[in-house]
Amino acid sequence: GPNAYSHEILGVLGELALTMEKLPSWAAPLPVKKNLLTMRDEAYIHYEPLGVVLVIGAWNYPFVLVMQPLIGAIAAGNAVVVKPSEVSENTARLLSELLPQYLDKELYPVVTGGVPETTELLTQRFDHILYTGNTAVGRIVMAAAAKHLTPVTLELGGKSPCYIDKDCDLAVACRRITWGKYMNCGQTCIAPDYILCHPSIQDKVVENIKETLKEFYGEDVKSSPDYGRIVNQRHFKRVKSLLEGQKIALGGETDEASCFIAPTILTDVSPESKVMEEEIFGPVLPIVTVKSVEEAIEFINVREKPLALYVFSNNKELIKRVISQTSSGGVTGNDVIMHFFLSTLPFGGVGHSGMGAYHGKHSFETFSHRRSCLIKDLRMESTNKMRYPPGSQKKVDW
Amino acid sequence: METGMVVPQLPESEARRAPEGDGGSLNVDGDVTSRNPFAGLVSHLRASWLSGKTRPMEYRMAQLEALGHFLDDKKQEILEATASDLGKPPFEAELSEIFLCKNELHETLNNLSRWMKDEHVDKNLAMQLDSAFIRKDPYGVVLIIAPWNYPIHLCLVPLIGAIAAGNCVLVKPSEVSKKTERIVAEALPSYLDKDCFAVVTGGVSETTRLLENKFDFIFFTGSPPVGRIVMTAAAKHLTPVTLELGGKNPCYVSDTCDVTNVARRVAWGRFFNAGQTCIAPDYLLCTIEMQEKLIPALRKAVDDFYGPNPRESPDFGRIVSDKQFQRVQRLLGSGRVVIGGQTDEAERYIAPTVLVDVQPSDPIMQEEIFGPILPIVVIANMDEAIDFINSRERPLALYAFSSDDKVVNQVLERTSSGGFCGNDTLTHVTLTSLPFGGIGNSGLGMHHGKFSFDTFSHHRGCLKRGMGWEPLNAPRYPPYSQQKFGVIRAASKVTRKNDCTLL
Repeated sequence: GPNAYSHEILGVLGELALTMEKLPSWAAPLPVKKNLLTMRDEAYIHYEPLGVVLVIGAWNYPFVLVMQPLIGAIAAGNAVVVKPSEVSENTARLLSELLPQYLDKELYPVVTGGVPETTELLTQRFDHILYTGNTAVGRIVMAAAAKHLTPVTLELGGKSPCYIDKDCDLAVACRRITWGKYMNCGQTCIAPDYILCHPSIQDKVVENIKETLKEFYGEDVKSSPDYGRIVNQRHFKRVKSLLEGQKIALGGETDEASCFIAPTILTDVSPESKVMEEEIFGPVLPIVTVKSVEEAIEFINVREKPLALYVFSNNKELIKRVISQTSSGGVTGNDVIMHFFLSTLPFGGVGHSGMGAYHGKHSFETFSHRRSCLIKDLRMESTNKMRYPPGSQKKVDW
Repeated sequence: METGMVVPQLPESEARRAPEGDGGSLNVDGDVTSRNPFAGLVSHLRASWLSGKTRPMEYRMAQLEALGHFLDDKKQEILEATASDLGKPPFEAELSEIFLCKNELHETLNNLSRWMKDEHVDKNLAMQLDSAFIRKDPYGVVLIIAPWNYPIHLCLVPLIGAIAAGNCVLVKPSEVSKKTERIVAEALPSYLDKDCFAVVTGGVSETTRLLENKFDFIFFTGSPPVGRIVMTAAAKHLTPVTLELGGKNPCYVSDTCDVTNVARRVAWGRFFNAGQTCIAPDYLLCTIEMQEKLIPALRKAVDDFYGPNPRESPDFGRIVSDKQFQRVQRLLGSGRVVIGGQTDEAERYIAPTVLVDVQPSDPIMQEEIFGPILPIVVIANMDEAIDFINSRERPLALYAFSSDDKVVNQVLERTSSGGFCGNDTLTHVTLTSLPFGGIGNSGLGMHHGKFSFDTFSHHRGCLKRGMGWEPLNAPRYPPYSQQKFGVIRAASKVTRKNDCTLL
């Protein structure tokens, strides 16, 4: 869509510039603290490439989710096999045509294809695999990697909760949430998936989001050039089916021919309903009411650890408490999505939302081996005498 | 991987159950306990984890202090148990099982409050008013599987890291080192909070059952084939792992070196714990000329260390089991014995042995030796040695001996291994400021010192923004425009700096 440049390319350019500036310092051997026995030795961590890295991209942000890992893998000195998602076929084709024109295609080949090709690819031995996608396939990737003892970084997903406290500027909170939820038509791994709030503010939340939607997309969302579509029929049907039996407070209109689903809000959603089971990955925002922040925390903790967690409140202590008593890949307080854009923060999941992290220096470290090095002198043998047999109590006590 | 892929759908019941409280203690079906005998225990640990008990620093410090008492109180029993299990000389046992563990413990106790603090990170222009930090969260319920060769050390050092990071832990010591297993199973739990820390015992089938449970992290030390099994089991639950495995650690000796010192350092590293050390120099690479000089020097070193009959030395260990003894004994058939070679099955004794005329295709060059045998493989020069090393799996450790710095550096630069030590063996792992871990077949992940704490923590990126200053966000909202985009670009740009030096 038209937002592609700001959403995708700008981030990549930033990451590139940062990496090029910092690479010498990242890659330099890191001396470490020595003890008495090693005082005269050289002790340091030597950053080395892992070898051949496989990057498997996803279709929702098809450019950045291939390019950002690629930047890190190249920076760390690896050869990289790039496998863009076949679902975003135009970007895949573009990458396979353009990348070899700029990069050494012996070292950085692009492989295209669908399930059979990817399955075959995964039987090969790599030195690291970074996969972005869903939890179910994440398991398959890790199982394939296990056969070769290949380390993996899995950027998966889940239901990222968004708790709105009664004590907050609702207009601002809802504007920020609206932005994060409906960008890319909800197809963002760190979109706020569902809202948790007190029943007394539920209606106000709906109102505020409704107003913001008008501000963003105009009276007729369908004709806004800034509102996206669901990627394909299969996902369209999947997301649409989540609306069944739900109380639709806003939106709900769909058009199969264009895979259009209007920005939708569901209220008084039951925790057991289908829309609360799987990651929505669409422009449908369920609100589940909770009586207190404690209830919200418990609700979150009973479920799989999400990729992102959001909490809106004027009360700093409350925000601290929510963060401390939950677990998630990452957190943004009083906003959504934004932690993704700070490259000094590691970006990754935990539990079912993934393992490992990247962005900025974290990419470099993910794709490097930290080899510990101790270089001693061949002379100075007398200091070693204490450790050799024959042992004696005297030696031990010293 | 999206459409078209036959995505294995979780069965309805699995998709809906509370992920944390699972496992069978809720008795979803009748014979679940026989299928999964550890389900109740794992559930209990998970409940303790969810209570938040292990998070406060004071709690973690108290548990770690208790581990220190365990090492002090049980020192004698540990020395006796390892002597019985492995013929471990008390000197070695005190060094590896007590002293090194206490180093890790003290390092952790001294630094824990600092390690636990949120790590504030640099911010870009757009986020100057925000708070951005990395929070170190515990994973939850951690499983540690330990091997038999340093049975206390390889339980305790990861355990220290896991507790320091705020996790609940289940420890599975090796059943092969039986007496030590009993100390860990019977004595250790009484020092720790039984709600949050437990020990399970058993062999292969019990461990297989154990691995069916969901853990939040698995730390495994052992062989590559079992490492694969552990990682495959972990994949089912998307459990992150650290695997400390092994391989054949090459030891290159250049022609320019102090032969006496080399021989002592290599002999020490090879024959410590009767060779049953994952980072022991596995085989030696040198020229035929160096070999001729090394053999008498090695012979003298062995004699200095263990006397004329190492079997009578209290400072030389034994092989842990009959099975291992027979395996290592078979390897004596490769090449030709020039030092040692004697064995005694009843004692599981294998003499400190050096073999020459070893071919790359010999049995001893096909597996990690894990015994007191040092084969020498002759090469023509350093380049050939490097090629030899690089044509094989990446080892856990790599050693290079030379008086010439450049040679040591060349070997370092042109090879890959978990860790590297120039002009010595083993000692690089005793420095807690260096990460200890493998690469490729020798493992993934790392630990020791702060690296343990980091390994057992989830590094959670956190950004706290204010609710004010909302107009600053305006450029990012639709309706989109070139002008808005320009503002975003200006605010978040990272420019490429020029490489110019001022003269």
